[in-house]
Amino acid sequence: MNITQIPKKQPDYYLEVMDGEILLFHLSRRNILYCNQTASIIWQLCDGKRTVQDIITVLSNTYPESTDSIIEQTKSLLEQFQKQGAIQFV
Amino acid sequence: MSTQLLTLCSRINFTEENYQQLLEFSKQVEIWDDIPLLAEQQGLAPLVCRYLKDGKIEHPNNVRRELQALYLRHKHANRILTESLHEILSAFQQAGIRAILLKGMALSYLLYPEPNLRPKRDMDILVKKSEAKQAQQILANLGFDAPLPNNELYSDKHLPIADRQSQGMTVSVEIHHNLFDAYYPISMTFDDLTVPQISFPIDGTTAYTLGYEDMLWHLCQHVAYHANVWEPIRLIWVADIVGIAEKFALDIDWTHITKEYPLILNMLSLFHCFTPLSAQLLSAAPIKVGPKPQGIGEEFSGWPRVPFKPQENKGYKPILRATLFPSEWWLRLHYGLDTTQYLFLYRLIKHPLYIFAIASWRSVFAKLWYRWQIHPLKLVGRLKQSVK
Repeated sequence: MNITQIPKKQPDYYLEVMDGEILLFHLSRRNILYCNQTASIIWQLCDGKRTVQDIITVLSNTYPESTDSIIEQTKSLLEQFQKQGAIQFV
Repeated sequence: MSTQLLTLCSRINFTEENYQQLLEFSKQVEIWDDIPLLAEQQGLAPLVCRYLKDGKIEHPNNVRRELQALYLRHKHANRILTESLHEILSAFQQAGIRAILLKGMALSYLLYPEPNLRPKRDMDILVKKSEAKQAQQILANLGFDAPLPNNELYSDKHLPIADRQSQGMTVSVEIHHNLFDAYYPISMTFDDLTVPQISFPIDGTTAYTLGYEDMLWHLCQHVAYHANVWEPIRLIWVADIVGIAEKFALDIDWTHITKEYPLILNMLSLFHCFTPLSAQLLSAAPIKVGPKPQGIGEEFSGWPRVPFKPQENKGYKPILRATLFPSEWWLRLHYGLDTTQYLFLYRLIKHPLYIFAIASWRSVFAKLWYRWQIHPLKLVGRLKQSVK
């Protein structure tokens, strides 16, 4: 993954909080992703305009104490989203 | 045990006693992994998800998550269907078409504590026969693929299904001019309704549905139609019927039902066996409660639903037995008998004759079906319509 790429949400994926858990799911597909707080923020930042680098910058500014792990965590979560078909890089 | 768990969950008013039973049943479930799929097939996934959660019933994490996912999907589907419904009702109102919502879409708002708990596949709307084409045309104007019928005979109870893609799902609408197909022995159009319609709110919009007695009758006929040798009934239909009867027990005219629609009382008598009816309903309605029939909830598993093939080492005996001697519960449901009526005549004569009739029908009419692709029952309906 290149940090200049732009991740974009795919249509018909929804993020919902249920019983304290954050779920990312598709309306007609069976697969479902259970997200932590960071994953849900990353998902919301995948607006088709921000690059991977932009997302990392937003997260680093929000959680300055975790800057070291944010790069790897962001990349890993975006890869998971892509694998599930929830995002595409444009 | 999974069957018992699901049948218990096929009710809307879940009491403390029901939660105790659910706890007992849950301790005996051996294969939890099948529950989400089975619940979804029965239309019960959101209710099972809710009752297991509210009852704090221990169950595997993967099962909990699958049920959550199913609940969320139904919740989103409900939102999309409701948005479309508002649009349709508003367009009909502007055109002066009176619309009555049928089945799932009406019941989810009228009965369920949360409409997302009642899965819906489509929307069924009853209009006057003279306004059916106009209603279909309005759907076409709203962007639905809404074909008009090929002829004026209207042998089906509804016009061709109108579909539209909306936010990743297909929204289907059936415009009914009758509650039953023309070949069915009974008929009920907008003008034949026996009790006044009832109004209810859907997110700020007033919608209309059948009066309680007509609604119960329609739903019971729907179950009776599907309780056949080809397909199983869905437990959500039981939840609907029991739900209306319990919630409106004091408003329903049980004298009218006893006189006009005795089938409703017989079905409630049967449903009482696996999802006990409330004391209020049992005292308000003349429901006969007899001994529990054998094989409660056990579906028909003989021919023609299952292919007529010999089983390993057992030959044709098991399939013959399942065909000619189905469970008492199913037999009573299929023939519309309550739990007190004698079964002798049905067990030994009517049911074997019914199976024989299907076998004969199939051999004679198979050619008709294959040659002209016309379902024999639909042909009967068309003939009836042309005679009229």
